[in-house]
Amino acid sequence: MAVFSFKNKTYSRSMLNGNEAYDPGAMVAIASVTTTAGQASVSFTSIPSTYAALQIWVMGRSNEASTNATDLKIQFNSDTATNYAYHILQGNGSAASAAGGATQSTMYAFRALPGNSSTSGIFGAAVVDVHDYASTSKYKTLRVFSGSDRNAADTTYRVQLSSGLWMSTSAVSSVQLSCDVNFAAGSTFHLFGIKG
Amino acid sequence: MPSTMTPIATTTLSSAASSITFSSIPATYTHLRVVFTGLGDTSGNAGRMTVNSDTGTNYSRTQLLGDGATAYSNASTNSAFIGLTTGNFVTYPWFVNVDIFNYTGSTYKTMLLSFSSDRNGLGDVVRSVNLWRSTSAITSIQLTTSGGNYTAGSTATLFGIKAAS
Repeated sequence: MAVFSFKNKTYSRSMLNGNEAYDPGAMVAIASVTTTAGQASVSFTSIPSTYAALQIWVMGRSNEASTNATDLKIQFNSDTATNYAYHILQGNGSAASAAGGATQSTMYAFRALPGNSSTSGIFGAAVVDVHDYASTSKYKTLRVFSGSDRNAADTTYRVQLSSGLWMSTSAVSSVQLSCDVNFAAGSTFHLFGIKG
Repeated sequence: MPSTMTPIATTTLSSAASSITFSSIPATYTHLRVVFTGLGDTSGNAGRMTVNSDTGTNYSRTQLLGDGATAYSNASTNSAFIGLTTGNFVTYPWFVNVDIFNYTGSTYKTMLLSFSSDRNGLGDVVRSVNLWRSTSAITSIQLTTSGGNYTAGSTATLFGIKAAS
């Protein structure tokens, strides 16, 4: 039976037997965090293993008393050992460059977070993708598209494509995001699951 | 309960037009995504985007480009628009994806753009971070050109993405 709300001018349909099944879609919002000033890190824990991939949308700013952009760090399962690696391709508004790092203690979105002396309201952004995060037979590969811009000629700000590697066959059950000098208030982190 | 990623509107041009506009964007999502593929009808002109019909010099970007031979980077400050393509989009269509973060929030609006065109010998792959210096919620998006029209068949879709509360 369908119900029409004159107040909201919307239809709704009950999930009784006989009605078509409700389909929430392939992208599912799992959890969100908005930081307070000086918050050291953000953690998503108890991540269900039922999705094909994870995606995190970050809009962030560091608490560093500088206009310089700083790095977003990404770890899995609270692993702080040197089990990570990365490669990056980036542009700083002046030149394109590439770099990589092996045997790292974290993965990075370099210079994704404007410093807290930047004009109020300027935040950097990142989309972090991990496919097959729940695999127990493979290492985990991360893809990040990130950037920050403050309407100024400042080569600490950049747009970046990153790959990351976590050398563990454990399923990702938690994600830790941090930066060198803590997050500014209002940084947002949204975790989504993508169904296969 | 709405889906997390919801198509809000799609426009496919039945005839050439100088712009595609998404208006009255509801404030019920967390992020927006604009996906466009299409052609221009005048060589040398490029695709552009503005929000809330703001044509003031309130946009800036940092960009990374590869043209099949060289990787390079540039930046633009105090611009009157967001660039979506280069001037080469008459014969080979561009694929454009714009992610707009926290579009209803009280901060400036940060966007991550990817736009690509391969022309069977030439081509461009571009990634940029863009900033709209306004604390207003985004209620409309305009896809325009630097001159000429988008051709018939050019299509754009606006998605809303709802995060967990």
